[in-house]
Amino acid sequence: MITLSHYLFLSMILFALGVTGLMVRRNAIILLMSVELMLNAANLAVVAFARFRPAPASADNGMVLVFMVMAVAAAEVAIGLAILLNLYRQRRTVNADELNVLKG
Amino acid sequence: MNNFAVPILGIQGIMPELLLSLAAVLILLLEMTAGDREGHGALSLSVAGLILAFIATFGADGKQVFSSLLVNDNLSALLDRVFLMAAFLVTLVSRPYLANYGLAKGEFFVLLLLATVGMMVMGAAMDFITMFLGLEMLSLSLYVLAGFFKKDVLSGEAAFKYFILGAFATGFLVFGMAFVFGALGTTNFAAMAHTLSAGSPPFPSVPTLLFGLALILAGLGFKISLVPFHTWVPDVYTGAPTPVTALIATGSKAAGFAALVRIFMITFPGSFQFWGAAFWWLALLTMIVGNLFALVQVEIKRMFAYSSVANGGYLAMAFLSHSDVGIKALLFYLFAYTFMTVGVFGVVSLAGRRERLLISEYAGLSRENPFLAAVMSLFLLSLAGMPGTAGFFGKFYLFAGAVRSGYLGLALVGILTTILSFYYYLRVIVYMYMRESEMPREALELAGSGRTALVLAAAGVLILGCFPNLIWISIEQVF
Amino acid sequence: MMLNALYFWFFGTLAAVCGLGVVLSRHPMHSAISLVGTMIAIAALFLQLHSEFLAYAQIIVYTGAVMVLIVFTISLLNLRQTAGNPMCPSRWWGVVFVALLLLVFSAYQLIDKSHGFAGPARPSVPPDYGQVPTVARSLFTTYLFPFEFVAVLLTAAVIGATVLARQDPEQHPTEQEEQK
Repeated sequence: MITLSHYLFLSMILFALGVTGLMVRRNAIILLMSVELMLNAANLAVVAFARFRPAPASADNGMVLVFMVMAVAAAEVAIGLAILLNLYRQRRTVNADELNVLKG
Repeated sequence: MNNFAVPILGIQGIMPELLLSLAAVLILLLEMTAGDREGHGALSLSVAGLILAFIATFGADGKQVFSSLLVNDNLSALLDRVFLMAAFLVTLVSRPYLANYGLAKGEFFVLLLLATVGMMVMGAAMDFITMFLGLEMLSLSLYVLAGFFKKDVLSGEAAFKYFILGAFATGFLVFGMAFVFGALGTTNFAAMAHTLSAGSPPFPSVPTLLFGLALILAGLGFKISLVPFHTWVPDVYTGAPTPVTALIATGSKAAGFAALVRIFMITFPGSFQFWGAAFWWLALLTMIVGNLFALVQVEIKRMFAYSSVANGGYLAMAFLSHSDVGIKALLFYLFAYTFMTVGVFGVVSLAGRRERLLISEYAGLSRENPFLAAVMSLFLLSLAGMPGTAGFFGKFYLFAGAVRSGYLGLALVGILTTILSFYYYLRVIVYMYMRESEMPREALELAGSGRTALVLAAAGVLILGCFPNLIWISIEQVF
Repeated sequence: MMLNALYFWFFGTLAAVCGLGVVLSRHPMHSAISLVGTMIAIAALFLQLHSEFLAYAQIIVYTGAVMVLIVFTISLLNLRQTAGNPMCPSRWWGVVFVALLLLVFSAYQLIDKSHGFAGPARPSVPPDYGQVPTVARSLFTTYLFPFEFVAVLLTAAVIGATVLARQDPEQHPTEQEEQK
């Protein structure tokens, strides 16, 4: 039987993969994709909770939350890619390790 | 489809936000049609929008609008005033600063206004959905503003670092919201508090709720730069255009604290035994680390970055006080902090055609422009907590609140680190007045709007320092 | 019931494996394609959870808009993995943190005595649960403000992206000279 635990574990694994990607990868565009992975993990958790919770009244609430997260994720990617493009024009690289003018 | 209920609109409840958005749209139109190259039109429209929005905040009636997604109470009105004041001062400083670099474009002011709208929505949010949208509006605008100097390598790098760490924090926040939603079945703060007080336990168990709250605290902790989530602060504050740094340090931080207040102090006061300890450690670490690192900096923006981190620690102390005392002290300090922080960053923005980045470059400023040196000293003394300035009462209320709730040790650490901070704040004053500049510079001219901003900020610091009751009266009305 | 479990395991594994692909691929384009796989798998799981509207939105917004944008940028910048190790072993504290998070959560689920985690889903859902009209209705009534506010947010994002991404010719004489 597929239970809430199954979905939450999957969501947890995806979230952890996203965090790991952000920590260990240095290519800026992959960092951006890792963030998307984290947001998707959260969305999956919300939808699973909405389905498995005993009280059904809250379902729409969760779905609107997920929908808003999707909309914001799209906006965030647009801004992120613009920042990246600008960075690339300045440096000809998108490797996060080569960004060391500010000393960290 | 037959029961399509028309929602009750609460237009009057979002009047300040609407006015600012309208001003932003007008600036865009002006930019498109008239080609406002020096930014004077954008500045006037921004100022008009901000002043009208400020007046509109006095219409707060305590009602919840838009199906309880937003609340229009005294707390949100006061927070709105903090945000609007920060945005107003930053706008005034920005035009001469940007004109200096030939970049006084309308888009800068548009994004600044939209960031302010985001802050205001966050301060009024009674629901995770609105809080999240406000936060993202604020963050997305600030990412772009941080990278506004496209030819500047520092600015581009600051925008990138701010974006990646901000998006990372958003991920944590959303994941935390998912679990809190799962535990309580709603994203509405009032409904959550109601569920808990009605005695129905979180689903499936209490730890789900606490796990979610911990993730939310981490996500918002990034935004308000509590240690250990502060690593982005020095780089971003240094690389971003200085007026933008001022807005990140004040408005954005105040909005983050507003969200924390709404979630932790107002919605989940009953779980204090769980999150109280977290705030204790965060406040302690933030005060110590912020002040110690500020001591050893040689670049002025980097020093103020760490000083801003340290101030976040003092603000976090408010969460340990009893909620009404804590919120009042927090609000007072937010007002004081906004004036003095926008003040110092304003002076840094305007002290010279080329920015002075090192503290030692401030030698001899008192000769070049006595006014700048004088207001800078005032802001620095206020940050250090000198009696007679806003910073003194702000810190006094925060520490007193902590002592009254029995956190004597934490208050003591606060006082000790404040004494420590005297050293690095006074060092700048010593440079300005007692050291001679190695290469003499000509006298500095200040643009009108920049001077106005600094005079207003200085007046704010002095008024709050000498007559704290003036603002305290409206803060008392929060509860 | 069996079919349900198979469906979950198939798409769940797909999502996790593709997620791993995002993190481990050397070339950004491979990461992007893996991410598309994850998103489609998650959309399939949304369907299993009776959230039709979100499944469609997931496909349209993520694979349709977000991923196209990312893939476009990768090809535009012609990004390749630069020389050297794509992983950064000095950040092990991050990985340790993630592992700890997972461990704590698993342990907690195992010792949790309430049956919420291991219990079955609600036996019956309303027939319109998660359908497009249901979500649309609440978006235009209860959640009207967020819906309108997202429009402002997207406007801000468009302005911001334009500000950063466009090249203003009059301000960069050096670049124009380069092109000549």
